[in-house]
Amino acid sequence: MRWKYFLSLGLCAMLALPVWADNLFVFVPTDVRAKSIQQDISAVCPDVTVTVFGRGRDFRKQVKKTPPDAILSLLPVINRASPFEPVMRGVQNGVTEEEYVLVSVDESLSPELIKNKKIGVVDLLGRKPMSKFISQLFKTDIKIKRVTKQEDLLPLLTFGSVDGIFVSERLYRQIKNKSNLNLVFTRLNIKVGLVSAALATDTAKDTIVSCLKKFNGQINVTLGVDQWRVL
Amino acid sequence: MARSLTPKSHLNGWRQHYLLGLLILSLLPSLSFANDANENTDTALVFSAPGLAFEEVVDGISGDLEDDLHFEVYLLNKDSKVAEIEQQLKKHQPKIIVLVENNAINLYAKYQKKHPQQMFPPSVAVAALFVDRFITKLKNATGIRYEIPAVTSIVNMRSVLQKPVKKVGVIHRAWMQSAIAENAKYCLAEGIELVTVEIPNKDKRLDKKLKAGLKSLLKKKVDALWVLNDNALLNAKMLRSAWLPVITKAKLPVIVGIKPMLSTKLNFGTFAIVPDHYALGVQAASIIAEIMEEDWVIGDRDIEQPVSVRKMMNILVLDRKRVKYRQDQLQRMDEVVR
Repeated sequence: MRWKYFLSLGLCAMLALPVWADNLFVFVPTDVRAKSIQQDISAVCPDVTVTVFGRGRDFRKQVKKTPPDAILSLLPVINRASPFEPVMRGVQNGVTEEEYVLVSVDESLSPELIKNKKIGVVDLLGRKPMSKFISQLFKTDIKIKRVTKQEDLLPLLTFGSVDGIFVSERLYRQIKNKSNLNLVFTRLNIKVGLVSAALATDTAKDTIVSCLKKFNGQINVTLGVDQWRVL
Repeated sequence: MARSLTPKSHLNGWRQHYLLGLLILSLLPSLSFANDANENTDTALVFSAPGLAFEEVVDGISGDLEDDLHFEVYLLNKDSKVAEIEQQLKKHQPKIIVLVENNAINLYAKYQKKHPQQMFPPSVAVAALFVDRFITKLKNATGIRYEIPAVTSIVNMRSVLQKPVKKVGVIHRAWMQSAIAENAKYCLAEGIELVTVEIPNKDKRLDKKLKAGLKSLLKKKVDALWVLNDNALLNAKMLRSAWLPVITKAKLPVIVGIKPMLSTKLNFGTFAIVPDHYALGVQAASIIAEIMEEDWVIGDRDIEQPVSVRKMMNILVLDRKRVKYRQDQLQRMDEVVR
């Protein structure tokens, strides 16, 4: 009868174990609400616990507090998220980076005269790191005005709170579709990495790679990519 | 191992809890967001009204600047006295003051009036209605408006609707004339004409004037209505006698500034565009950071417009009014009433 005892014990132990799923934290600034992206990704990746953050600060805090198995975000965010190592890169029109431009109203901004201008950006990294990141990209100190959501950039231009906004060319087209302001843009020859996935350890690699490969067109458009490349 | 508490240890435990309780009580309502690293950092003193929305504002401010400033938050209520302001200022010697909600501005203005010769640290007012009118009573102050500008609301609504939005009607009382003119200017830049109807500040038959104004806007074939958060125009009596009899029949989208007006039962608002309180706090944090970088000088800084909103829509009311919208835009709403 001893075997019955061990069998029961084993069954109880199995039932007591939590259902294991790899955790994926997502932070990608977009006009689509976090809840909606979370539902879409969870639907195609039922074996992954997906949490989508709408604000950079919440993402950074949670990554620190309960480190997930994987993160999905823009490359500048991933590059500052230790110990995560990129495992997949998002691709748009065959490349893994996108062009960024300066958008202003009526008159275009000259990159040479940018030093004393105030530029609106979506906050990816927090106050000081974001300021440092932008200054590194422009190779000069820039006064920035950060917003928590992508859609808040247009009001900055509407109310003249900034001289211009620094956005991807893709986002510029979206804003242009929404607004009737006389928006003009200046090319900068600055490129920023698209959305990428990174892992804390290799254990979740297969699940995460398989999950991202299942992303449908709608999810990819929201994330600003059209396909994924395994590194 | 079983653990038993002797009567004496019970008493000790009770004493410890009592003392801990007293300690906690002595710290309330002054809540500190101090961290270990801020012994040498400057203090920002926040005077705020209690409430979830204001907590979010404070969270946005303190979270964004947690590495730069030590935050002390003092909650004010309707019975708070100027002496409390004085006491907190003496206690914390802040580099900057944050005033959240109108009561904080009023009490701090009274404090400043009581000490006309004193130099005051810079202050930033946020989440206070009609801040422009009250901030003039303060020295060395700036702030962010609480009211969402028409252009922000209309542009957000326009991106969801299938039909073009070129003319938007609004009824306002006379005292809001300059604010409405400013709104009209911003709308024009977006290709939107703000069609305005002005009614008196006070009138025995304000409801009749409001109703007539609404009818005149409909005759002018406006594409939508923008409803102001004015207590005199938006209360139960006005809803019953002026708004609802006209609006429920009109096949128009209606933008409101408070969520309860979006209720399906009311059959009134179709879009509610309200402040994003956390983002409002982050916006205030960016003003504070700029003042800090300018060595605590406000300079000739203008009062800012709020840039971030929460968007809600009621598709049941839109369907009833046969107003067509883009399904693909619903994912961009913070809340959809179905």
